[in-house]
Amino acid sequence: MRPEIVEADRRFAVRRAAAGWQRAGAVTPEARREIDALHADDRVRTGGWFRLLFFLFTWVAAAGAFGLLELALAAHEWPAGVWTVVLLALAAAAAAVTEHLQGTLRLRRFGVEEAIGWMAVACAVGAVGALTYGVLEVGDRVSLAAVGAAVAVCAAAAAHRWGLPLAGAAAAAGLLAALAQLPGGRWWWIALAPPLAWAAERLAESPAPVPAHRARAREGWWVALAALYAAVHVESVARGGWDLAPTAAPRPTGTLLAVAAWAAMLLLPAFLVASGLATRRRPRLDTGLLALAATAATAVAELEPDPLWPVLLAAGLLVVGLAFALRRAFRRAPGGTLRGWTSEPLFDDADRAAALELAGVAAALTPAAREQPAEAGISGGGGEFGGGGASTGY
Amino acid sequence: MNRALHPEVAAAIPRLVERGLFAEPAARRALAAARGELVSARAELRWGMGTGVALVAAGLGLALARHLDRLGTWGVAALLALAAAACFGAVLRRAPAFTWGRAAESDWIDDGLVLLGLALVGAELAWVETRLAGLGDDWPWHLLIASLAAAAAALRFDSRVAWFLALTTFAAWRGLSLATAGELLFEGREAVLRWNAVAIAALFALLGAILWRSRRKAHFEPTTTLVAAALGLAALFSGMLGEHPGALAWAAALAAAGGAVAAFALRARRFGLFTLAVLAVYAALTRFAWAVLGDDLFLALGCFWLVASAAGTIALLVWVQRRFRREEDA
Repeated sequence: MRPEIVEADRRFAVRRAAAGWQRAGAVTPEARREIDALHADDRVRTGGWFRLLFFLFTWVAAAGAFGLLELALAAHEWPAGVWTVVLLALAAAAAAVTEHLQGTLRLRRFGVEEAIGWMAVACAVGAVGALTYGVLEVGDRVSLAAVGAAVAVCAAAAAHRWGLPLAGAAAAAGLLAALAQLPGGRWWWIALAPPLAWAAERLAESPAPVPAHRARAREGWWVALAALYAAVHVESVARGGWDLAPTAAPRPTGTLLAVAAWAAMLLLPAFLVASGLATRRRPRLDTGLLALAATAATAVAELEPDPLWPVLLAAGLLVVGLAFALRRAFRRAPGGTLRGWTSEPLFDDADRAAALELAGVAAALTPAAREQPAEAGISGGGGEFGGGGASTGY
Repeated sequence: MNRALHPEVAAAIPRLVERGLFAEPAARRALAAARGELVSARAELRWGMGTGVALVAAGLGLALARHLDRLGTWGVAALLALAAAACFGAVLRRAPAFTWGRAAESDWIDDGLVLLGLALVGAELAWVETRLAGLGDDWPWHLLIASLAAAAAALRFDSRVAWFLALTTFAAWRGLSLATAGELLFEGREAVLRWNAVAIAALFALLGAILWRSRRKAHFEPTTTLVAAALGLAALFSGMLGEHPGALAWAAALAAAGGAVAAFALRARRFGLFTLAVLAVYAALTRFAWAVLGDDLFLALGCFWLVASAAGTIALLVWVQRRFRREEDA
């Protein structure tokens, strides 16, 4: 990454924090302006929604240009070798444009340069795909491994050079996809995902890298843990045997393996939650809670308890009771702080949190719509237990 | 290893304190947060409470449905009413006094309790309606009453999630939900749903305007307007799909409504709403381009349209953003 971008990103991190301090009333608007002046940002940036629009429309324009090229040159008739060269040339051109946008025009987190950076990655990966599938004809498994490796290398390079959002996730996913093509792919995931997650977490928490590199490392951490959980998941073990590749023939799984899978599905989330709480690492806590919920949902799906309602009711009451207990514990703790955790907000963006909560309410608690009569005349939709999300019809 | 969540911020805070820009004790708290020594679990606690409420509501719904015939009508109704009253009573005890403005920061658990109370009220209404047919033979009025109850709770306890639930439950009463969005957009039963969506969007937009102009719970207005815009634009979008005679009229309405929403959103600095509106206008213009060029020509020239229209949109967005920045600086 260019040194001037590194410096600008570090200053931008302070400016963003200052915005949160001002929102929380911790600094005055005048102080905020002075903080901004002290941490002057020479990059051309935009807000999140404009960034999304710029990214989207740049992709639309590029897709249209690609289609024009294909139509004008009758490119669909080209042999794979020509496509390989053309895609490589396009990747190089897109990379050069990204450099120009980031360097000369100083765009950063603007959307346009990120879209074109991703096009460079996509074209390079496409070239590898055309080469292995069309030119070398090495078969699906080797081609998939090569494409996965290309994704890993290109996305890692894009993450390193440009700090592209999601490039860390793509790099980790590409590496794991390549490993999945090897014989005994599940073991590769189980063996390599933990060290990958460990290395990614160290990078994400190290003070040396720039904020963008830390964020990309965190993405890689999430993907590595998701892969580890998927590799030990009882359903995936039962269906896929040892190999993860789609062409691999499933092997029967014994009781011992199923027990081991269940143990891993419990131990991994438990470790993440416990270590997250002990070391004040929110990503570990959140990921552990999500994995725990996935394990619980799997248990319900596998065991099919009949009736289901006591399980749901008991789980719900347990969670609500736990929330009350935690509330009481936080209120009684000195300074409202328990082992470095607080239940109060810490200069966070309240609007963003509220938007996420509304999305959660929409997904979980909004009642199912009643049936509308399709034609003239009214037909009864029947009663439903709704209003609180329990949309169960009689 | 020296672990810090935001090392740049942690390094900057002592300098800012020295310059007198950041005062204690907020600076000490911010420094602890930047170093990862103090972490907020508020989001996790709120989400945990919400998950618990959703599980209780689902379990309760299943229990009532399964044991419909064996449960005593009045016993269950009384039990649900008591439980709901206990929830609202617990919140009432702690809630700040009612205000038409934004209430002081409430306990993080209160929103969850309000939602639990509303879930119980919803279950109670459905139960009573089914067992006694007391609210009409044909119509599921409990959704409307549950929506009004949620609105009342939202106003009293200043709960934005309860207000959102009130709006979505009202829409569900008129046959609209996330589940029906697909039908609205892509399936054949859309005519009734579309007009319902347009009517509800207009009603919510009016409600938003009233909240804003009257300065009563004005902070609920953005949520109300966003739901109105999403419903209205989705309904208009669904109308322009396909090749039926009225498609272009719906496209024109979508372009006009999208433009109006975009103008309002820019003035109000609501960029999520602005994004939605820009996408709606772009979709409407693309529909017009398709109509003007015809199927065959659009297939051939579609790429030109994509390049030109997307480049034009980017240029327009750059202009809008610069103008917005200038206004901000001024």
